[in-house]
Amino acid sequence: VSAYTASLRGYRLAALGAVILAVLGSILACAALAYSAFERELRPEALRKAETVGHVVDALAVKAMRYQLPLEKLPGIDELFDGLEKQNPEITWIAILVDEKPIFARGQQAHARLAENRVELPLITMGDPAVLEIAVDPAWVAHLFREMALDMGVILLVSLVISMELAIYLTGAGDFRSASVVQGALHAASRGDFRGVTTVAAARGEARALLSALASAVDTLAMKRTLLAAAIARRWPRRNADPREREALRAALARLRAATREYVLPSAPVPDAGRVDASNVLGAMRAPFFLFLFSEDLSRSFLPLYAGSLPVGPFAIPVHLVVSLPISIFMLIVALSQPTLGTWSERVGRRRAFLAGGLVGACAHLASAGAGSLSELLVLRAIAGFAWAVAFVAAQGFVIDHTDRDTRTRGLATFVGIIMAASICGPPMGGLLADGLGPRWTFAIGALLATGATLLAWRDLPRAAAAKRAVRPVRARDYAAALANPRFAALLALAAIPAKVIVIAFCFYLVPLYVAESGYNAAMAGRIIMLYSVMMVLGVPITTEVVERIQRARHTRPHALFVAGGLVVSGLAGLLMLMPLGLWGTAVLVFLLGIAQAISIAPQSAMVADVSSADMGRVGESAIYGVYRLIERLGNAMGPVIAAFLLQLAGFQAAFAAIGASVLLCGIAFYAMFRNGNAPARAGART
Amino acid sequence: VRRRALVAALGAAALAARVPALSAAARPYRIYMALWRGMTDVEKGFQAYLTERGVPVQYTWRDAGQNRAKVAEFQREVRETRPDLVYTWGTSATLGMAGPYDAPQLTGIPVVFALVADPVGSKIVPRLAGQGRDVTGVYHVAPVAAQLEAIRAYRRFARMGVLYNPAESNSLAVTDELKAGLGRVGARLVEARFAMGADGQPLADGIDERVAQLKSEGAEWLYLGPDTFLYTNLDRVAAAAKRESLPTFATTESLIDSPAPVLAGLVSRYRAVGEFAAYKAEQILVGRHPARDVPVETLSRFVFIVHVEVAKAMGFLPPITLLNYAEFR
Repeated sequence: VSAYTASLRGYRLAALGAVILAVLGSILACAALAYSAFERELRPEALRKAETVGHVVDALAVKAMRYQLPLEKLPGIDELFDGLEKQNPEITWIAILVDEKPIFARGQQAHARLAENRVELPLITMGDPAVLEIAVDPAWVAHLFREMALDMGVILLVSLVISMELAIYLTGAGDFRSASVVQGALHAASRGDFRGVTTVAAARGEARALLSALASAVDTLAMKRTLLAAAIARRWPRRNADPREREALRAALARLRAATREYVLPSAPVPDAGRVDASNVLGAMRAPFFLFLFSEDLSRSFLPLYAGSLPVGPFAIPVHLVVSLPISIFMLIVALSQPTLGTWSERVGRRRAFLAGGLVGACAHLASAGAGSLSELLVLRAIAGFAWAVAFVAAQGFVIDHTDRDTRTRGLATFVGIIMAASICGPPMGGLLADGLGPRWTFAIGALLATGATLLAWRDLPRAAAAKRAVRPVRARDYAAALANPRFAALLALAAIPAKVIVIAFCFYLVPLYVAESGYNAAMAGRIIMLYSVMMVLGVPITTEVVERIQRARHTRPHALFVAGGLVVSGLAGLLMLMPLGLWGTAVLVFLLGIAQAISIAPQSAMVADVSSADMGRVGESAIYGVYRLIERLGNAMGPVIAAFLLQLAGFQAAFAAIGASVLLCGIAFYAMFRNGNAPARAGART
Repeated sequence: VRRRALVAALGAAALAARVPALSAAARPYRIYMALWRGMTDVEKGFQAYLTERGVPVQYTWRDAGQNRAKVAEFQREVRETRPDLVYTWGTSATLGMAGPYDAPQLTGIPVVFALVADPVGSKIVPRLAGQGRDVTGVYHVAPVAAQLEAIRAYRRFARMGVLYNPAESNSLAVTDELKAGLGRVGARLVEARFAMGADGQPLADGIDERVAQLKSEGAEWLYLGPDTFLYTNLDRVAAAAKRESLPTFATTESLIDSPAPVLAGLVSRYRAVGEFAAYKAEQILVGRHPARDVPVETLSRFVFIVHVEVAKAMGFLPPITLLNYAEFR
């Protein structure tokens, strides 16, 4: 069987490779053809547009002439040219020339060097004869293609992630599920372990016939064995029995025992495998949770801009602060509501809790699409934050309910994996949609996705999700106890909070605004933000592996070094913005930030247990981690406000650099404090 | 679009149903036209609208020639002849005919006014909608925000000067509104008032000094509000501003239409004001709405006028984009 599987796998890989090659080849060929067609068709089109723009300027010159106004002395010509170039991105040079010398010019003169990129129009003026010159960017078509290629890349990556989610969903239910159950049942049967045979009551077609035949065969076999064993027992020889009969019965019993050793038969009827794959820890929660997170992540790349476009109403607060508020409110509500929601979702059941969160989230997205003022948006974002926290806690609780000590780590890793997958897909898709349809429609699509998540959860989530154990909510006493430990407090103040502040301040607030300010669209902001999640997904497993290796090889815990390293890299990323790198600067910044967080996030979480090991017995591990998560999330809420304040005060570069420098200093201080290994906490030693 | 077409169709059907009934009655509406300084484009617009809509009207034309005594005579005549509607031009004629809202006259006959700068400030109505008396009409000054946007399109500024008559409640209201509007665009107001005589009446003394003082306090524009005393002394104010090379901005067509060297203005077209007033008259006469239920409104479109010769003489050439939408004279 294994040889057959291996050859099948090889064949599959070859087929897959061939398909990929064929698709890739045809895409590249199409792109090449399209490129030349674009060059042929679009360049004349762009030149015609340049000519139209020229006539607009000419009409103004004619009017000026009619009123005897000297064109060269009229103010506002530079602004007019700026506006025309902004409205027509393919035009990169507009100038009025007198005696071949520009008296007014905007853009790059180099683009006007070739006649094929240039339109010239004589202008009537009161003075010397003038010529209007307009040039089209020679690399305009290439630029269009680059934009499209980036969009395609994003869509490719997103569809890859989504199709992986889809594959997991499909193999978890329906015909694929039946097929995988058939495979599992046959595999178990071929090993002789008939207890591993399961069936699917809801299966259809051939799979149903096969599974029910298999199940009834196994059931019959089991029943026959039971009957046989009973018959042997009934006839078991008494003392005066015929020795021949006794011999025969002994032999039958031995054979039955041998057969039972070789073939393990179930003692109960063949069980139903259920609609959803239980071996996938998240099971039924996976797809709804992914969709729900995706719906919220859609707005990441444009929320600050959208907030800035709404009327402020009666508030007299600076615009940058206004723009930061929706994010901060969202994060604050998430942070504050999570500790209390845990017990609530246990009481009402994970299913009902998630359904409530999904529904409220969908309504909040839909209402955000129609928000008429900033205050409305703030309320709606707060509601969305609450819904997010409800769904998050329900999903987390679901993982805890459906895992035990051995599978919990894997379950939680899958859980984090889904969060990261959604954060890869959400921002760039949201940016793309916002550029095409506008932010309001993107919110409406988010509402649709959240509704989909709710419907899926309604269909798939088990009704009676028995809560496994009560997670004690974090109480004020726990905070006092946990924070009395100076090393725990230092870990929060120097590492956990700064790390969150810098991520949220940069990725959710400053980068989207900076990208827009530099004249790029929301899609570009989305792509750049996506880099963060991609680096996290790639980096976290590598870090975990490296940390474990160092730990094994040197018998030390290098966690503090990794946490400090992450903080230092984050800080340097912020300082990088002092250099005149423009948009590339933000891309490198987000890239570095992703790496930095990937380096520090897991070791930092592990250090919580290290530094508060002495308190664990008293306060309890879950309470300590509850305190840690809550305070860390308050850092999330602080991030945008701090960034907005700095931005208002000193501009983009200073805001990036100030936050970066502070985090860098935190990293150095953290290393100075924790470099001597993770010996049991001093505070703990005293008690 | 479909809904609007439907509404239009319904409206047309309603009109078609009504017009034969009217012609059967064969009695045209009698409108009494009380003018202040002769026939203007406002009345042309008024007449043209009603003619186009097929409303039969018999006009009675009276011109006061800027004489208040004559307006009192008109009022007596209206009481005797009892026309279906009285039309008045400007604040003086309107107040002369209908009186302020706290001392109303001519009750029982609907009055439609046109070309009143500030109907609330001049106490013709206590508020623009739900005015509580059978007087309605069209005021012609653009909202302050639109005015400031127009001025900024010409040339940005940090300080705006204003010269006004503190005895006119209308001017005080306008100045307050202007101050608030300037605050919203991050600019400041520099104010000066006309000299006041012992009798509480404004004096034309010291206009030059006041304009010079505004300039020295950093004013970059001089705002010409709908102030009657300012209008009567416009020649001197505008000439002083020109000497100080302080550009002037007018808020009414009468200010920009005068021969005084005013630079620019955002004003209502008189013809459009007349058409809108006629629409209100139609609502009252044909639509049978009591005048008290028809709100007092202004137009939503205004004309940006620039005096090219003043601009050239003062060296304040308009930005080229203004050629796209301003009217140059």
